[in-house]
Amino acid sequence: MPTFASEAERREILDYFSNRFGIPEKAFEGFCFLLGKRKIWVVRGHPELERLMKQLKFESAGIPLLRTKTSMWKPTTTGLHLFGLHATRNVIDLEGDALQAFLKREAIDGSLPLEPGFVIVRCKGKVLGCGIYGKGRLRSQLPEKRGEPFRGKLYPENL
Amino acid sequence: MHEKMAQTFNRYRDVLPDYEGFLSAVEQPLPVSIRANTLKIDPGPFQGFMRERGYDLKPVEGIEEAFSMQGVESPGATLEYFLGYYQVQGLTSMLPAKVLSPRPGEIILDLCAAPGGKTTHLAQLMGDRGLVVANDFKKERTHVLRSHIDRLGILSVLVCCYSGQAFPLRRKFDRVLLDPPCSAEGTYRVGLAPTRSENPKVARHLVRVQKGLLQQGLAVLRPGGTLVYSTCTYAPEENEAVVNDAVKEGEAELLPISIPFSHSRGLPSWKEESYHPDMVKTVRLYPHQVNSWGFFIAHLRKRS
Repeated sequence: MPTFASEAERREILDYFSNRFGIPEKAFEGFCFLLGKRKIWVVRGHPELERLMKQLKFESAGIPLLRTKTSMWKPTTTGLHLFGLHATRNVIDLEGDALQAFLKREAIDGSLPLEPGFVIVRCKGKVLGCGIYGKGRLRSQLPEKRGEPFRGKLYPENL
Repeated sequence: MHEKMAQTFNRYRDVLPDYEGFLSAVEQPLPVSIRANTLKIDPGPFQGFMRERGYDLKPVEGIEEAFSMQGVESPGATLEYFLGYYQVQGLTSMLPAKVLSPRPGEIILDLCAAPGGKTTHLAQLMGDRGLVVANDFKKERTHVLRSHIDRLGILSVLVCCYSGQAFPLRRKFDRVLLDPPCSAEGTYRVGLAPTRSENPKVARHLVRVQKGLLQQGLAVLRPGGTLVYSTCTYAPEENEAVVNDAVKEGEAELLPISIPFSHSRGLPSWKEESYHPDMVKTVRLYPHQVNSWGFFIAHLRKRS
């Protein structure tokens, strides 16, 4: 099971979200970060949480927030659904054909007002998930399996 | 009438109210019901939003977050589902968490948690404030549980994988939800699989497991804490008889239950066995009373 993030590690996570997406620290108040081998988790803070985690062996706590397998951290879809609504930077609203392409996991070509790297994709202000932008191309990072059932039968213009 | 179903349910002919009405109800297909994820959107705006998206939702009287969903073939294959705005869940499956009534800040144990409909409902009822320990013996089943937690964006659930009957005693919980493996007769409707209760060996095994789980559930409950025991079966051997063991030994007392649907009381006796007089405080739900899964619910308090 992951271990609790130290103060320095917590600061690094908060700085990542602040610098990359403009998500304020306040959005994470009341939550704890746990560090695993390949993921960082976010869980609701509770006075008994630390003791409980020593008493029992857990498979997971809260939700995965970041994948840290590579040097470039990748935000999870589920984490962005919760915290991405506070984003002010590297976030883009899609509509029409571009939105359909994103949902179908197809690449979108064009110069977009985004920095290279992971970005947050929204539709009419609702966070859909993560994309990766670079060299004038935006690629969807929506989870392949989770999104499969609804792909191709969407009417996102009504979202 | 489907012959197999008539055979299964015939032994309840004398104790089940309006038996013919019951048989007629189980021949009907199960309607789709969903639970709005109030951690993301309130029920009113949810209904409006879904209407704009072209979905026909009808509110369920008595459960604010529940809706019946019509005209959708695959309610688990919509964008709104992916975004975590709702959970597909049987109406009666929503009741155990409502009866347990967890409060923000409490520490709750869901002893047999997968696939997670009730676990996520518990967290939702607490406003995602507190801790819900979601345990399931089978690790592969916790993958489904975790996918629901992720999709619904719930931050207060911790998942573990102990044998429920040997769950560690070093932590006491404020409340426990126990929805153990059962013969699932309540899910036996047209087009759905037959139950496991016809195999006597399986039925006996289930009862042993259920009794062991209830014993352990009470053991990890703090004195004065409450436990909800629920199954989706009609079999008194798996319901009243299991609860009776805990009540007659004085370890726990039965509490009254308030249900927003038409329902029946628990059985005071079955075959040659008489149960504790308080067993009438337990609740039986049949599909001709509420158009959903058949269910049994008991609400217990551990004596101090």
